[in-house]
Amino acid sequence: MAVVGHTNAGKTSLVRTLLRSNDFGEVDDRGGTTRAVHPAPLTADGQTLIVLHDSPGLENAPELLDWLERRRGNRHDGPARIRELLDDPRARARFDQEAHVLDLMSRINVALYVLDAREPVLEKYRDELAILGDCARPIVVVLNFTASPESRAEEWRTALAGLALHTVVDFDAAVRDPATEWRLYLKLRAQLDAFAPLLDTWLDHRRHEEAERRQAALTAIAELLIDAAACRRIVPARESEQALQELQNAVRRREQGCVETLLDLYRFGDTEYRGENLPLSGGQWRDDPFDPETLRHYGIRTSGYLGAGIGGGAAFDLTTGGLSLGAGTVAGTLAGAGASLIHGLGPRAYSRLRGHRHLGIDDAALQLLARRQTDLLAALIRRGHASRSALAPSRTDQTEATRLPRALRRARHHSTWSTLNRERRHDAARANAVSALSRALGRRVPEAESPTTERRENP
Amino acid sequence: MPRSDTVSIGDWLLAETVRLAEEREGRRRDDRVATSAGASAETGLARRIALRARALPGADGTRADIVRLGRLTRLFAGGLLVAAAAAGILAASASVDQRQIDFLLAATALLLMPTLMLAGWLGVVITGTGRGASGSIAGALLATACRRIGPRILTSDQSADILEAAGGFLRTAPGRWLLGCLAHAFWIAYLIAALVTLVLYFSVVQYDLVWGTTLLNDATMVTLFESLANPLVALGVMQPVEPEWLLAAREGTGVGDGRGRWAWFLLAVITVYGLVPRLVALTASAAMTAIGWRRLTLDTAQPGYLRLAGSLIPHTAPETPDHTPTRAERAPRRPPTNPQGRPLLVGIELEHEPWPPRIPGIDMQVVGRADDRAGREQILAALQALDAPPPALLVLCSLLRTPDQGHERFIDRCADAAGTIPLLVLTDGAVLARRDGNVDSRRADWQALAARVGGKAVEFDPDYPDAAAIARLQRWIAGHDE
Repeated sequence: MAVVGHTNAGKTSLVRTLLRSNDFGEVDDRGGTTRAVHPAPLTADGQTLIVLHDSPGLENAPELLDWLERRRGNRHDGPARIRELLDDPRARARFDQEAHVLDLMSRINVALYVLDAREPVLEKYRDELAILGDCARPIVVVLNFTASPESRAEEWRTALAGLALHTVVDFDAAVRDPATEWRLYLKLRAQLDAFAPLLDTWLDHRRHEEAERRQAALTAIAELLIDAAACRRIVPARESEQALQELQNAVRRREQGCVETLLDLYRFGDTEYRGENLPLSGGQWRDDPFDPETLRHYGIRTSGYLGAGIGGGAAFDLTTGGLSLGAGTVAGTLAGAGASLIHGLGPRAYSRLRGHRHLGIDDAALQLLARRQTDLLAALIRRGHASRSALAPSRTDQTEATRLPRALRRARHHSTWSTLNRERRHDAARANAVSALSRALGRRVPEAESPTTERRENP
Repeated sequence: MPRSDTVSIGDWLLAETVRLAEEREGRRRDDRVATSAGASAETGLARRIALRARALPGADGTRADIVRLGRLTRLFAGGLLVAAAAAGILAASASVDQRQIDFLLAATALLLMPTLMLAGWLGVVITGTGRGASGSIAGALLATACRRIGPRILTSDQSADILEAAGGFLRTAPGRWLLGCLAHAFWIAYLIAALVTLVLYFSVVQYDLVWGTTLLNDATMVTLFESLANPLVALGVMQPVEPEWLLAAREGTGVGDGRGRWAWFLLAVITVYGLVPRLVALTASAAMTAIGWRRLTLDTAQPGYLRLAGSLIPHTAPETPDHTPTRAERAPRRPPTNPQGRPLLVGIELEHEPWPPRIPGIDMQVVGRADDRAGREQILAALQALDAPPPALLVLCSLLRTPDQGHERFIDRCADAAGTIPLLVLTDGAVLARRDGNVDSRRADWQALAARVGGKAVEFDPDYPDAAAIARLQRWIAGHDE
């Protein structure tokens, strides 16, 4: 599959989005960043099913068309005229980039012609399509930047119909709408009967991959929340402030680790992407999870002990505030974890007698962690790899429920579940809690749209 | 599972150790070389992940610890077998501490625990529940031993994660079968030691093996013994038993002369009902362990592994030479020495209306717009027909367009035809900014194009005329360099 088009139309961005990789090629507002034909294999289970070929932009189609039109000998034989051009060393030197693209066109089964839909219908684009038409390969026109208010998609559709090009698909590389990606493959399937089984295999793989990626992301978030909920520090009262700082820092690092996992899972993880004006501001959340202002921003009610607590942050002393966990947690504790309660309160009371304090992360901070990780995941699911704008944290007036999921309430009583504690142990019970929590979190995150059988049959 | 995606146990533990650390601390920043090494392998994702883990800085120390942990495990297994043999000897000795031995009590004392544990193990295997390593006592003991002793013998910074990874391995299918092997080996050692002890005792001491009952009648007991003996007879390990011979050993009836036969009966019961099932279970577990071992791979659906999939995609080389075409800047064109008339104005692929725009203070002669082939040819023809060069050729270009070779060649040809300096007037900067386009870089691209055709470029918005831009244009038209 060749990805061709005018310079700076978004060819490499399209390849990145189809490849789910933002480290393929180079993307820049300046045109002409791709100077060579670069293959990008789409693989399923270690097998390459499709090879995309990113190509340099076409820059001088009008003069090239003039050159081709002067070749009267092959007036009705487009491929022969193209061969003539490719065999002529002087013409190759003059139309260097175009020659690479035309050479590529002779080796592929289908071409994706990428158009910036914000551009007016200029003659040079028609010239490009006329030249590519001479290569006698099916062409699917991909209208990029259709999400822009300045998109002229309809104008383009009319113009393309005038060129007998009816296979047109909207595909904004900056907005990864899985539905449009499916539509693109379905259009290709309609164009390439012989490759229908292969494209079906690819679509099945893609759907499986999407589901697997989403599940892995949910698991990563659930692991973070379990780690944070079960995190404990037992310290002498005089050292509690310092220990609180250390605890908060550990949770901050753990959250950052989760953010990076999500970015990596959705292939937004390379170092360059964590630039200044990119999502999450350098790959990190701008707001501190222990800042009451951040909690208010997310509509999370803060408990009374917040601010009055030992550090003023969203952490609390489990010993003195053991029952300030919130009514929901207390109810859950009494209902489901009586043994753990006794098991947990004994050492706590003993530590209290020794003047020690138990520090942990409070419900509001856990809710905040859950909320913004699921928000990030929902945004990543729909984010195109060509998008270069920052992810804005969502703001809501809706107040979060105060009751934590059962798995997190259980984690409160299993300090060995947290990888942030010195004594840690991953056992089957923890795995079950992570699994249950990821299922609960999954209800907050929309699933990526996938093609139905009906749509597949009627592209 | 494709064979190309299996990993060795050492690599499995190493990759898991790295995953656990990276999930807690975030991805290693020093993994560029290791990731490239993983990506260079043409194999499945699991092997690429394992290769990356092996190439990470500090991996050698971790691998050395994994080898130590292997030694510790083997040592533990050996110790466990010795302990099992000791337990078997003790149990056998305890059951023959008197010269008159109750057959059923002795058999029960030696077989009850192994049989109950075997039933429990079978229950776990059949139901598939209890995936935890503590499915057997051996697993729990091994896990505890690793936790307690591990930190003392492992020296790398990742020792805690190595132990965690080892615990994780014991929860996988081959890990569970391996624990099963250990548990079966334990009870086999126990039973063999008990059998050998009994044989020794029976060889050098005379015992009377009897049976008795308080609640049941003798006929029931005879039936019970016959049911115990029939499979042994069928297997050929003992002679058929007659009710008279059985009744002769009834407690209190006087001891018959079948001592040796009764001792053999007890040994056969322990062997066939205790040892053989364990040997079968050990063989099955060992076979399953071997199969699982050979198919061992990483669970690449784990977030810590799946996140690496993007970075570990094999790199592909460009199919054509990757070079930027040489577009040398030409020497700056000089304004004509004897210009005539007004500066000329040409527009290229503009969106701005109305056409022509007004530039206050500059009186221009409009030549036309080059939006298509007809326009371009018309403009070139008009410029070639000029009698004398004009002071300048103003080329109105839109910053919304990406400058390309077509623009460059056309402007170059126009400047040649007119014999004057091309001055590029760049518009639509505000519209580009509204599109979130990078105005600075686009302007720089057009300025580079202007330099390549020997001209100059200035940004100018006809809707908001900028006096400084107009003044620069006027100076350029008047022939001043800047």
